[in-house]
Amino acid sequence: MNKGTARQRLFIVALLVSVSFLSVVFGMVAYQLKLWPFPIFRDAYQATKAWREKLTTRSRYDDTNLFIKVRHTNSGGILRYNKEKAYSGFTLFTSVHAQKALLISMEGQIVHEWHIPFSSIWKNPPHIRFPVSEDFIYWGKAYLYPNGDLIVTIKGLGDTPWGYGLVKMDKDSRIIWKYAEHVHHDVNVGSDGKIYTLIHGFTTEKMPGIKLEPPFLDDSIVVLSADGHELKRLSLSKAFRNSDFSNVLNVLGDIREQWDPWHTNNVDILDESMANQFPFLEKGQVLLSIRNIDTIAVVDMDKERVVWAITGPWHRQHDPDFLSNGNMLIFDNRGHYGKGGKSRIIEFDPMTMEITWQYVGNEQGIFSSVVKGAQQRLPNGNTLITESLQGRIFEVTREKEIVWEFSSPFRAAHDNQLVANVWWGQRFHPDSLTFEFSNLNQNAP
Amino acid sequence: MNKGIAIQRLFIAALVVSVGFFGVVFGMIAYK
Repeated sequence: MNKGTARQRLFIVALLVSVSFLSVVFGMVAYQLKLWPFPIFRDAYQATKAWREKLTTRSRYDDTNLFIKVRHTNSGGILRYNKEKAYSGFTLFTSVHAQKALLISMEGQIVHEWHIPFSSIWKNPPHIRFPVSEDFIYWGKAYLYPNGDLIVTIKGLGDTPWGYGLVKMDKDSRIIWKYAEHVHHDVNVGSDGKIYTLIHGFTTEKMPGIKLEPPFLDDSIVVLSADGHELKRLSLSKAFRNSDFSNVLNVLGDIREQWDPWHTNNVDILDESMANQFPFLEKGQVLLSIRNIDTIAVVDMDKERVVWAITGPWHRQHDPDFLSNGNMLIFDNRGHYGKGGKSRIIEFDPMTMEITWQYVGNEQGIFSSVVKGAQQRLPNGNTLITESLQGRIFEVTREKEIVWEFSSPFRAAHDNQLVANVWWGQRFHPDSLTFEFSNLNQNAP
Repeated sequence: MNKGIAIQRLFIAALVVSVGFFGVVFGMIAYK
């Protein structure tokens, strides 16, 4: 090897070492400052991860939290019923074992059910490119009209966005209308018949005021006419940006789930009968629960801005409700640090934040649902609680005595020790339902 | 420039680009 060739090889080696060193340093700087080509690699990584998750989620029993090991051995059905103390009526619930809503009597008999598979609602859904299989599609919140019409939100587990749509059906499960958008979590109907729900979708453009790199899911509140036509859509980011609570946007950059910074899970309407109890709000305003920032907020849809927002002694909460005594009730999923489970139901005064009542579990009767969950204050003062992950709906008195308890009989796998989540439970007075039940005349199932 | 030298330079250029590419990727992963 002559001197020239040796020098040339040394140069090449030095070149490669220099290039590798500089490129590693540049890679680090690109990551830190989000410079090109970092966004391309980040998007490719996230897309691959999401796609892999979708492909590898095969068993809804083992690969998801749709079915959870039941805490107490029982085969399901009514475990407790104190006829004198319970608020008598029918209980509506949705369960993830099937795309169904069920109405049961106090004795646990199924008196009516609604059922439509997703593929019968949309054969080729225009809003979802590759839907997950039917096993992973389930109904979330259901809104029941007195005549038996039912509106349900549909979710697809393992997909992003997981909101799969909204459908209204009659008492015989015939479709009245459907809304092909990424509807998720909740739906409610105002006294004027307008329908309020939540949608989400990926934003690909950087949003002013938000320290988050797109793409991420942005939530919107949608108002539909009674016949299912979209009247208004308001982005949550915009509603906060237009408000005195815009500092919330700064928090988003710090949260763990940056792809889903809001995770809104509740939409309620402040109706006329309650508005006087909440003088800092106005009728028609909308109450939201934003799980990932532990915040509840009220939005004025006409002014397109948040008018009230607060965080409190709760963590990853669900289902805030206005109460007729001026207090609020909320399902605090992970805010109980004592014995008896992680969850609690809190009644609090929104002006002073004083907790006026709460229900927590104890060592004999654990109460814990780290995700999902709902509650309903009943006219006799009792509270109906949906402990979603345990497939359990139960009613407690003001003194915290359990006077009615239903454990979902929809079990599966591992010697039937896995119970299907109950997404939502709600009690109806018999006089509030005017339709004729199909009277399936069977215990559940 | 003969064909051999041209191929050699092309190879070196490809090597430099590859090292640069993997260096950037490694830098991002290492920093993460």
